[in-house]
Amino acid sequence: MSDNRILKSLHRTDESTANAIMQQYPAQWDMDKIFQKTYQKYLAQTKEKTQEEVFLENECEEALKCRKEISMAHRFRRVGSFACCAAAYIGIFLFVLQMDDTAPHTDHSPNATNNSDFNILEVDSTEKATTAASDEQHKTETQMTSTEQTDPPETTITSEAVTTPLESSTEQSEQDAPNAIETTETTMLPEPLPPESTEMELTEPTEPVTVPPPMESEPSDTTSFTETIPTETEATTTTEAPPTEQAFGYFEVNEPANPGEFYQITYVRENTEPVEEHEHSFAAEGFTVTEMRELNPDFDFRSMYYTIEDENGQHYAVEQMRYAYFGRGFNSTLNYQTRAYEIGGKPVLLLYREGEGSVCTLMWDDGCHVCAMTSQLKDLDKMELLVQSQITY
Amino acid sequence: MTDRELRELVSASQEDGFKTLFQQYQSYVYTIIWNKLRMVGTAEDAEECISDVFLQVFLHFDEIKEGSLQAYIGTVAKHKAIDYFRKLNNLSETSDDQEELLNIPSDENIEHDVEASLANKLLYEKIGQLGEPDSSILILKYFYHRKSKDIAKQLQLTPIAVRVRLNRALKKLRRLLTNEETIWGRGDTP
Repeated sequence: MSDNRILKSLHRTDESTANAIMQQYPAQWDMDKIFQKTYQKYLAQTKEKTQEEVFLENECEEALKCRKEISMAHRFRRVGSFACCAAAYIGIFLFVLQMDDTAPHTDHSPNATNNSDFNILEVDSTEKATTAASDEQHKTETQMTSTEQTDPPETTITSEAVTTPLESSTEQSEQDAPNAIETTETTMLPEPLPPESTEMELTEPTEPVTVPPPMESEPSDTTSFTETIPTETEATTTTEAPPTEQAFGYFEVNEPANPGEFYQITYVRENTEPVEEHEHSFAAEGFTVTEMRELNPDFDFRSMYYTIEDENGQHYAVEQMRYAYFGRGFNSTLNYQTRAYEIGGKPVLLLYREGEGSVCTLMWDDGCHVCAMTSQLKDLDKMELLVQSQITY
Repeated sequence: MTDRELRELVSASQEDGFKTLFQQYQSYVYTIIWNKLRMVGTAEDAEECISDVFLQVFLHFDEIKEGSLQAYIGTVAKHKAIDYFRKLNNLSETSDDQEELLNIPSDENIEHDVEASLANKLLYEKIGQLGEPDSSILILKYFYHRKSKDIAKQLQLTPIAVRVRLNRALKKLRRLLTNEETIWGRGDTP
């Protein structure tokens, strides 16, 4: 059976085993990121809900306001159109009156002279004065009516429109008096009203949009993690064997940056070159090497791996690593402990966990490499014996 | 922190209160969800489900009766996990009874299930004997479905080192299992 098939069954394991796994190897993941994402969703949904409620409350008020504005607009429109019509009628009435006034009066007195040309000239001059006066009157009237209106647009007759026909009429006064009258007559009528805008521009109240302040990216609250995860481990801190000679170094246990992460074990040695060169071997008295092979020969972190068997058939796994590439980690949430001491005058570090059937790892410097041996804690004395007999310098 | 203290904290500062609640119950929620989704989903699916659970808790926090916060969270987590399970399995809407029927093993498979359970326990024990960080790498890879780069980040190793250690740990595990008379060892060549 292939390795993958064996281990794929791991995620399909029964619930009790799964619970045990999750308890011993709790999942480590970016909780802070997930909380921030969840909290942002919560804020967004809360804001939408609040806006809907406010919208429903304001909807009635808005509708009422719109209705009022529309009714006002209709009212103004009616008033405006009435005013325009009234102004038009008044203008026509006045014009008609003026026409009566300016019509040539037949003077039946003996001194009257019927000189048509002279009369036409006279009529023209008087006509000019009266039309100017009536225009001014009409202009003031329309201006007055226009000021009364607020909506729709005002209707005014500009003076320019009034003067040009007058000028044209004066030019044609001698030849075409009726036409002049007609042109002036046309000018007296108010200009057609421009088309009114039918749309009512309702200014919507601009609600102050309250944008929630941006979420500050707080640093991950590591202290609270320590509260939830029971701190069962109290790893011993560094063991600093004073390097009396260049050959020796010391093991260092580095605490993780964040709670719940791994502790790191490193070996600090000034000179990373081996003390002496010797062939890879692990032939200690009383022990038999059942397997020996080089791991990752093409990489800098290559190492030698041994499986060693003692007289009772107990197996030990040993790995020899180059100084510069040694590193071990252990989970801070598990109940691991470290203990530093010496075997044969050489610094040794033991990583172990209490309890029956627990495993331990013994690490030491053999002069060429850092070695790490893993087995069960109950076999520690044999491991120490192996280390002592194996040390070559 | 008790329910009352949590409520007081939420009243004082909503974000801090919710964050404390999240941290207090995240493991509990994750256990419920992962137990349901580990066979059909990925780590990202579990994270999405957890986010949905806590979102519902935040939205209805004021309606939860005092003293029943954990029960409420557990119920929401279970239902969300079932919803995601159905979604990931492309199951149609089935009642809870029908779903329970799916999970009940038949009489014919009991012997196989018991053997598989024992084998899983043994596998778990042998993984523990590998020592750190190999056992953590195996669990993270094959139980939690994490990628090598995520495992490397968590264990402060390089991705290459993780893959190399994984390969080595698998071989070691195979040896350990072959030494035992397990169902994998019988008749199988290492």
